[in-house]
Amino acid sequence: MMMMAQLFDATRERARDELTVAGFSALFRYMDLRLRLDPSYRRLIHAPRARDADGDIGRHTVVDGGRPDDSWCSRMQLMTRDEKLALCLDIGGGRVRVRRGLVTDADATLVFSDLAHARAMLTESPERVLDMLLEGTLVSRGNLSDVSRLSFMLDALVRRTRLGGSDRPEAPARRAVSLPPPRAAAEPMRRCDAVRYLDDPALAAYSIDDFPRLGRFRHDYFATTPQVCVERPRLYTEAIRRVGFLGVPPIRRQAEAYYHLMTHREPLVRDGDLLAGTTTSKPIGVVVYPECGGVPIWPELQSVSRRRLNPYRIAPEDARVLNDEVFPYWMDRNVREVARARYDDPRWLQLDERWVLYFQWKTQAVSHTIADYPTVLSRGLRAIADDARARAAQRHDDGHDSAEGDDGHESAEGDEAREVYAAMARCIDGVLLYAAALSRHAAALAAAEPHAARRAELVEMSRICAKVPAEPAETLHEALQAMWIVWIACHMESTNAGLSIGRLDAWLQPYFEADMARIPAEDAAARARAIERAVELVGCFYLRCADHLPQVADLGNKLFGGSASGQVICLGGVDARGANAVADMTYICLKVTEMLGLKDPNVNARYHEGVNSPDYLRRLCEVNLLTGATPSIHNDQRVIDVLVDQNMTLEHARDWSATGCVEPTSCGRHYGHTNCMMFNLVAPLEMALRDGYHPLLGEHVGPRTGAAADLTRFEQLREAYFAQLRWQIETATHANNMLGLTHQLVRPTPLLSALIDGPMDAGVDLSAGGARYNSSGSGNVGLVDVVDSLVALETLVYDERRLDLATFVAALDADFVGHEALLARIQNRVSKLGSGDRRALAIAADVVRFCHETFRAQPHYRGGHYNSGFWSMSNHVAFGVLSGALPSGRRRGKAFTPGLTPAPLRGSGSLLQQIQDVASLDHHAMPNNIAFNVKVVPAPGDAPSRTVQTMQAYARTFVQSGGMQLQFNVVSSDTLRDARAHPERYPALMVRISGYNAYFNDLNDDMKLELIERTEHRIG
Amino acid sequence: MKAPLVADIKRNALDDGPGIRTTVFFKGCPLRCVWCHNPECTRAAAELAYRHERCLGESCRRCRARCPTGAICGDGPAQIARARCDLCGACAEQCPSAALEVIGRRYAVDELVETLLVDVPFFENSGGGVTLSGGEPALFAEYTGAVAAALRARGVHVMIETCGDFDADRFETHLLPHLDLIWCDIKLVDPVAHARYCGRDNTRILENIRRLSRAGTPPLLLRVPLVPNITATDENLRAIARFVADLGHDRIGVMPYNPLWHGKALGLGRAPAYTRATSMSAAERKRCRDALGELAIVGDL
Repeated sequence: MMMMAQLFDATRERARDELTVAGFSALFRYMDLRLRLDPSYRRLIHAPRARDADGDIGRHTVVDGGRPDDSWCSRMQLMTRDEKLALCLDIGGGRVRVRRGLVTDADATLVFSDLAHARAMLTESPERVLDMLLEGTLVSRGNLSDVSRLSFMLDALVRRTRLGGSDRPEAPARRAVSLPPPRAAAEPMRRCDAVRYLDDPALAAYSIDDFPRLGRFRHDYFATTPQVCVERPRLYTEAIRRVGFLGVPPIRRQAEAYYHLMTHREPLVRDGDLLAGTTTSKPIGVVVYPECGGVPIWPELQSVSRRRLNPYRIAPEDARVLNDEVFPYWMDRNVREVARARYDDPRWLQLDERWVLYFQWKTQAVSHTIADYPTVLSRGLRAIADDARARAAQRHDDGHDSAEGDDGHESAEGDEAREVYAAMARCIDGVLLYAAALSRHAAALAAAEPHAARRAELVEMSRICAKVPAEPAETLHEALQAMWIVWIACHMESTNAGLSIGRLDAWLQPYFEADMARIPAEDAAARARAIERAVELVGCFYLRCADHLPQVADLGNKLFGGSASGQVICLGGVDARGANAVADMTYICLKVTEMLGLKDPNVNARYHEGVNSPDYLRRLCEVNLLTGATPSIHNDQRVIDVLVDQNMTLEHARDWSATGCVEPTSCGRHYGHTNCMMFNLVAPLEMALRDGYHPLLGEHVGPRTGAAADLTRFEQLREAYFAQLRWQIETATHANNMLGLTHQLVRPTPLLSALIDGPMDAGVDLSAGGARYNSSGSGNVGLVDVVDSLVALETLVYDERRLDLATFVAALDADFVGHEALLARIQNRVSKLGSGDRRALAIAADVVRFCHETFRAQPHYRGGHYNSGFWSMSNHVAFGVLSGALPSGRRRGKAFTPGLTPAPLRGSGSLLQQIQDVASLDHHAMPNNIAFNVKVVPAPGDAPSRTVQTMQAYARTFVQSGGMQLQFNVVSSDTLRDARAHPERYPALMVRISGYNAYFNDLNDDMKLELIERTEHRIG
Repeated sequence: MKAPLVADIKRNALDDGPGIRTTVFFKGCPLRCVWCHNPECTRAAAELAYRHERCLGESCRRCRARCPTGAICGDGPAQIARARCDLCGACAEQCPSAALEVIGRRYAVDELVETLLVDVPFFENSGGGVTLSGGEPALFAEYTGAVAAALRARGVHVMIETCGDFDADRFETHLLPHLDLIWCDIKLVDPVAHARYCGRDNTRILENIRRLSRAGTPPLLLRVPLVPNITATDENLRAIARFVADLGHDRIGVMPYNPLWHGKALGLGRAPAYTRATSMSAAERKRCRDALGELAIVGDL
């Protein structure tokens, strides 16, 4: 009987396997049929008519870096690892031919771990397919655009025919929200720091109710569903199609496309706004950069408005534009695919696409830098363009001189520089024409405006846009309008991912002072009105910055849930001479931050002990309490130290701002792609314990560093970890270098180059190393998990000899099931980072130093260096979910610890010890900064002033003890649990993830759980 | 001067006085209040504590195997034969989940002071300091006085939480001069009730309170533990309010009842004599507020 049953099972399994293979064949035959018979389906691939002939479809030829006429032609392979499934799709001529067998020349290959997972693709939700991609049960090799396009066509194929599948409803354009009242009122404070005009720097008399314009915009912001905007990709692609992709100097191609975009985009003014211009044509727009990370949204064009997390609306016509006109063009021309082709499907890119060792941000953006706004405001863009033109002319003359000699090399360089200058000037021309269009548009609106007060505002707006950013700004209003237009302009060129604003308060202070100086001192009412106006203008600026979101495909919801564009405003600190830079505008920005409670702009604050007042630090904590999550607080002196370490002058080091999340950049002169990668520190540990084998990747990825049984001394384990880590750092930085070189071909940034010190002198684009200072920076994820793991291994395996390493690894593979006493011992009896334990601190210092020295030792493509930092965005969740159990006692699939934050375990010490432990780590070895995430919960009965006092004491002690950066979440786990159960009650609940802020409702469930499970420090 | 046992040192304490503080809980108390929230601190001797919720249960039982006197038998540490236990700590040392722990550690004065000084920057930035608590720190006035003196010499703000039942002369000689603030309990005004619920009558406590009040320095805050049906009665609270006001105080501290102590008592092998298992309701709290009349209330009520 047993035999019979086994035979029956085996037969049934074989039958099911056959059915799966047949199912795939049938699916693609059906696709072929639909392509031939259904014009509306065929229309999606741009094929004029299906070809009737059954002959072979040849491989596509490459035309100007892409495929002819954008039609769908591709060869794809679907297979399982055991090759039980092996199908080849030949797509072209408006047909799909499916045949069994393996090919060697597929454009893209989808490899399922087994037939069960292949079946899942046919039967389960698209979301499950994404999980499979992350788990590695489905691996995509080759051109991701082909996979995206196939997914889109499959989605379109089944969309109307999915049996019993009731699609979720579309997200409404607007939803009703009722925003909660402020948590408490601010307390008045005395004049302090370099404040000249504010009698109460906290502006405690004001609330959002006093600024109805801001209240309305804020409400709209929370009520509006973001919408995909195709204006930029449409115009940009249209221009590049005309100019050509290959055969044109990249920088000229970029400049021409940029000029076309800026001169054809629609000038818009939000009803009632004080600042003209919008990032997109939508109220809240999702910006699409098809040349970088835009194409992965392709499969979702028809479903993105219905997805569960962070849905975007998309107009049918806009979806059509992307599918027909934009994405097909970029299939082979985006940064990722150009790199793949150029470097012959490199291993480092394949590893990037497994999501677990590192995430290379250059596939999406460089962006993480800060333009020289003081120069934009004081000289105006026209002067910068004139400068570029003059230099182009000069190079022209020089070129003639040297051409008469026999140094051809010089001449080629001169040609390149001329291209750079011409491109800079061309881009600025585009920006200025956009500003002029805004001015005309505002004038037209004014002419039609019935209300006199608004008409006056529009007339003023028109005047200002006619003046700035072309000419120098003279008032606060002009300065903000100039910055806003330039900010839009930068985002039309560079991805909205970490491009940062910088020292808004310091740069606006002179214009505020100029405004105030024009008002007689005795006219107190007029001065009060001017201060209110300044608050309102800055508020409008913040809310304008919130008018766009980065495009995140559903896979990204799992990796970077709820993240915004990462537009850092960095307040306070010292000026270039070291004097107190906390002034009126600092406090005005803080008031706006307090009242609006926005996740983006991402407000950071510099606190310089001994120069900035303790009252200012107290105010930072108060705003943090009132908003729940912002601003984050930096130790100004420590950050200046690490910039000086990088051979910056002291003046330049003092002129820094956080970028993206927390990373330091010297403003306007430093191209420091500060988040070039999110780097998993835990993966090398998993590999060190298994001789280079990575459990999730299912293969020996890292170097052979010895089996667990052979690592008989802790020193050997440490060496094995460092060998794996070194390999991963070398691979990841090499990837960044190759992607950086690819950016030079695909995506130079002539506008940004005109706005940062260096390229103008050198005649070299930023992407090629033109900036005065060059670097790249990593966010290393999971330091605490690694340290706690190494401490546990050293203690239990090598010191106490309770078990051997191989047994320990077996326990990890079993996720501690059957090893409960071991797990309990680790969690309760082994020291953790944060407890003051010397061994933990020594290991932490060792790993930090190794990371720093190894990253620093890597070659850098722009002639810079690598900075290593310890913050995690949301990747501590994404990487953690993909990782097995750790010796630290962290179970399989749980999040890692955020940033550089002690684990939520009993042994991790009191908050005071944690503060001291984190502060004791050597900041010189963490030049890309850290994020120490502290979740504090005030007692229900405590006065806010008491809570603020306690927070201030934590922050000040952290800074005095040498800590670099900390960020408070002021929220209880109970509140977060309630918000998880009843999202509708918390439309604006803001939380700090690690480095950036998000609204709790936008997070995926793993991230919500991680925030709930973070250690909660009760204060009071 | 023999050092007393310390049950716990709690850093980042925010309910034991102004600012961020470190609270030292000494073992040993002259009173035996039936609701005592720190039962691990009443006895002056070391004790073996068991935390049921951490225990891995029957799959582990390393404690039973390790116990040299056979004090842990049968169902494991839930039933410790305390008469047989000689507090050797072998069980606790082997317990993987730290469910077993010997409570009570002795520190030399210098050692304790050094331990406490670690958090001085937090004290300075928050206006905090060290709180001596327990148990009854005044029971060891020579020792605690020496600790307080050493801390103050380093600029640390030092205060005491006391039940008031101490030898006034010893207190004034050794401890009082080194204190910045005193928080003293006043539980029951009626001496008979006090003897019944706290194990001793309150004559000495009330006399000590009067002396401290008269002296005026250091500042004194009187505090009532609000225990339903015992201290939190209208009659007792009115009497306390009168007593406190007569001494010239215009405020009073309150500590509303919290049943979390039950678990601690059970883990020490003691059955709670007072069994209320819930916190105070809003109505009960309001009644307390009303009974305390005009006095300003310090604490969350």
